[in-house]
Amino acid sequence: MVGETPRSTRSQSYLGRLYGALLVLGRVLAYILRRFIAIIPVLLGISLLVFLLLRTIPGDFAIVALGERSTPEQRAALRHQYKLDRPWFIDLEGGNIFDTQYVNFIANFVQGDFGESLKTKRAISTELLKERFPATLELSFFALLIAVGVGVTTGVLAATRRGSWLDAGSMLLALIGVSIPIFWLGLMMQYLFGVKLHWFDLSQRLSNEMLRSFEPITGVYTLDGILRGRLDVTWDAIKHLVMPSIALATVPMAVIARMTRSAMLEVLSQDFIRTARSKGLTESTTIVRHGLRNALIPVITVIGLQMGLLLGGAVLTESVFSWPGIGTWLLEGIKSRDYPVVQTGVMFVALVFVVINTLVDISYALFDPRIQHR
Amino acid sequence: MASLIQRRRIIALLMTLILLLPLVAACGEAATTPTAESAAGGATATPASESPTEAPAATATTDNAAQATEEPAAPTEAPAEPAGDDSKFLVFGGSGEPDSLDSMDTTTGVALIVTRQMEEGLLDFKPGTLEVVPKLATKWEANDDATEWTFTLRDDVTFTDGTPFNADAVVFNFKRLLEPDFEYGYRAEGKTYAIAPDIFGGYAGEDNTYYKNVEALDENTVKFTLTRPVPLFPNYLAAAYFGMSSPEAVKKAGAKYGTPEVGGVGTGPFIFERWDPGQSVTLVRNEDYWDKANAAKMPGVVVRFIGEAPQRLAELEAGTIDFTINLTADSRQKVESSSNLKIVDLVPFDIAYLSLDMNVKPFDDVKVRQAISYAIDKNEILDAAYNGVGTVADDFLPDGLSKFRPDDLEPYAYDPEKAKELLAEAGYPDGFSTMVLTDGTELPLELWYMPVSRPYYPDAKTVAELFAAQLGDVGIKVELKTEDWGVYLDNWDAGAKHGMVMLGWTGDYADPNNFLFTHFGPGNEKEAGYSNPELWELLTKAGAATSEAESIRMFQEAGKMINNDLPRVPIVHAPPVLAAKQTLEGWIPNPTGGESFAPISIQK
Repeated sequence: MVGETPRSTRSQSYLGRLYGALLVLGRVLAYILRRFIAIIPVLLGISLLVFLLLRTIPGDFAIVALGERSTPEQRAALRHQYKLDRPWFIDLEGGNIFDTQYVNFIANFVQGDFGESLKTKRAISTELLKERFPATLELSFFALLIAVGVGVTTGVLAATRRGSWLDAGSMLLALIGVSIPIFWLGLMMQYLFGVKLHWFDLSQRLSNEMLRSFEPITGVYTLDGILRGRLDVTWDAIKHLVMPSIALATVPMAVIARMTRSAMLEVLSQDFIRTARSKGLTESTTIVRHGLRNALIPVITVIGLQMGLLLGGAVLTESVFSWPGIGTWLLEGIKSRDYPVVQTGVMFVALVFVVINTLVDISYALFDPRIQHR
Repeated sequence: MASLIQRRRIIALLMTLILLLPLVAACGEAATTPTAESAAGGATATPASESPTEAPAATATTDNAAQATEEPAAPTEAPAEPAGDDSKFLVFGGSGEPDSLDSMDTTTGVALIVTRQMEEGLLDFKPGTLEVVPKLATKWEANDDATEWTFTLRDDVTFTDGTPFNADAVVFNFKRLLEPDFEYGYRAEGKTYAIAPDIFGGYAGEDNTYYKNVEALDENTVKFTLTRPVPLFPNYLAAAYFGMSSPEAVKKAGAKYGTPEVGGVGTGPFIFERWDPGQSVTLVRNEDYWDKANAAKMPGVVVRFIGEAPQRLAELEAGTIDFTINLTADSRQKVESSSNLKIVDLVPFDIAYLSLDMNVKPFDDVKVRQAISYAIDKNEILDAAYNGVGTVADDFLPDGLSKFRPDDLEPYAYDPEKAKELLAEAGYPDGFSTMVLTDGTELPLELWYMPVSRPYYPDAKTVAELFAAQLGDVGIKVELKTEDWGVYLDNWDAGAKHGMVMLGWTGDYADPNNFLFTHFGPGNEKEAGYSNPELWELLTKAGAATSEAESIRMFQEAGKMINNDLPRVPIVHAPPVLAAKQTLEGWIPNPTGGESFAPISIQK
């Protein structure tokens, strides 16, 4: 008898807490869902933009495909074969009103049917997901690794030695890093480390003999090397990644370094740091545990944004280093007016970009209780 | 929390390590074993890589090195490939990625240079020339009026997939190329065979084609029946487009024949091994090649896709490719000044020209056209925009076809005074700066230059500026214009480009009409208003003449007519810039751009 009341109280409070937790969880899930639904109009807008841009730039797929010497009749026939002579949005001249280029593109994209490349006549899903995206992913990952590793370290060092030559020097380097054109840096690195010093190959993802002797699994060669038990392949792939990923990393690295520095400076001037120091904590503990941890939120935001920019930078880097990723794929596609490739490629990049940004948004909404999900 | 920070610390440490490792390793290698390192990277870079197993060992740990030597035997379809020769694969810097490895279904040079190594034709060009020699056909003969061509085939050849090469295989290939209703053409699935209209005048059943039929007379004899005399038929068949593919391979792969997943199957000195999209195509030596004397010297060739010319030059300098084509004109000096590299010479087989739109005034006046020709200093252009390499063009025919040139041609040598005289005679003593279209609109005089680089106009803008200056000297003021290349060609075809238009052409085979009829035939009427049915008839007859002397006589006569009318001013014949390592031997480039890599070797 005595024990009953407390037990029921306990269970009530347990239920109450569970309810409260569920409520919060529900709100979080609703927030996440809202954020993801918000992606749809963005993607639709992008699809419209790509579609229109592609068709307003001058030039003709048929000439590229059939050669400069083909006749206008042959070109017309080819355009017809690929339905490139269909109306853009709605067909008002008889026939199926929605059998148009844009509607077909969107309908097929949503169903995951990316169609075939006009130029190579291969499935775009194969080219994109098995070949090009893994290459870009690998490059971007290594670039991000470098950017975050070097950027955060430099930022912290600069902040803790504010006003020193190290601070001035690293921030000058960061300024140069932000302003330097990727392709220029890439070419200079190629000349110095490739042509003159022979440290690295100028381009490619693997040496010819490595490429010959192994079958990729995921298309991320460093990973595939490990999966196949071929550490020599992984090592070779890393060697080929060094120059392009450094080139790609420069801008985000510089941005991250500057952001880390200013965030650290702000945090280090706060009272709790003084408290930490006065408690007698070592300087490194104070800086890392109390300073960096608190400075990380804006840095994570910047990193998230830079991830998207990496995809953009990849176009330039890939073309300098002949890296067979999405960037070179899109460039080739634009050159040959390969509409399905460019449309699908841009939509895919946009999707990745938007999803990453949304995840970053959500993550710091979760990390930082000050940000309310309304 | 502490663990989080510790983890971060470890991650940071790892990142730093990852960053530093390659640098440290590369420094170490460069200092200790520079030759082995570059061999690992560049396949054929240095003589020190005699034992190929050392190459991976230099960069991998010892454990993996052992693995690496075993692994090459394991890939997809490797037969008894001698794994040891990997480091000696030839590496070619191709100027882009092929669109297909089905020679009949591509028109691009970057594809044909690869298909040429696998899919051989009935006939070939003698190395470095345009002379037609036997390949898979041992002899060929025509009936009296050159409408029936009979080819005798080799009886000792099989495709590299084991399919016998015989008359049926030849018929199969030409039917899929030319007959739209042929069962194995896969046209509905995307095959276009865009070259057929260009060379055969059209597909079977179309108005303009001269193709009628192809049939197997017996196991090793094939007969082509044509609707009109085509004396130069063998010259066409020697072009790289007409490589023979294994019928079994084509049937098996369907529309996918020629794609990266399938590649191509022919009878050639090399066999398709793999195509890594965006990266390279790898071919390995055909160990059972039918022509033992001309078997491949190297165990394989890697064709890399490097779209930009400066990039190809850098790769050549770095030693990561052995030879390459289509460099920029100014690369020549850089290559020549390098002790490791050399320029490989090639007689130009192209023409750079300036078209004058005869639909507009004052270009309808022959005196004005001739005046323009006198006003242009082709030597200055050759020096300034081509580094002096190439030849000034007196007519449209390149040196390979010189026997068809008129003997007593009077070329328009640079003579600004003469130009002014002619302009005065035509009623423009002070020159002119406008043009009048057929509808009476008066526009500033336009000079169109190409937005792209081609061997004949490697730097069209510079040439256009020289044109403008030289024409300005005689009072002709032009406005330089350009636009997107696709639109440029579209408007050109539609006859919508007025004034002066820069264009050029590279020949596919040894046929004067490939240069003359193309530029002065009926097509010109729409493009630039030159209509001369008498000339068309003469060119057609010259092309159909069964006696060579007769053919030469008629082409020479046509050449004189063209020289007088001058609807297009020939400027220069300029060779593409080809370069290779000093140690590379046996590369004899063909003017048509499709030579065998089999005789190429790398000297120690």
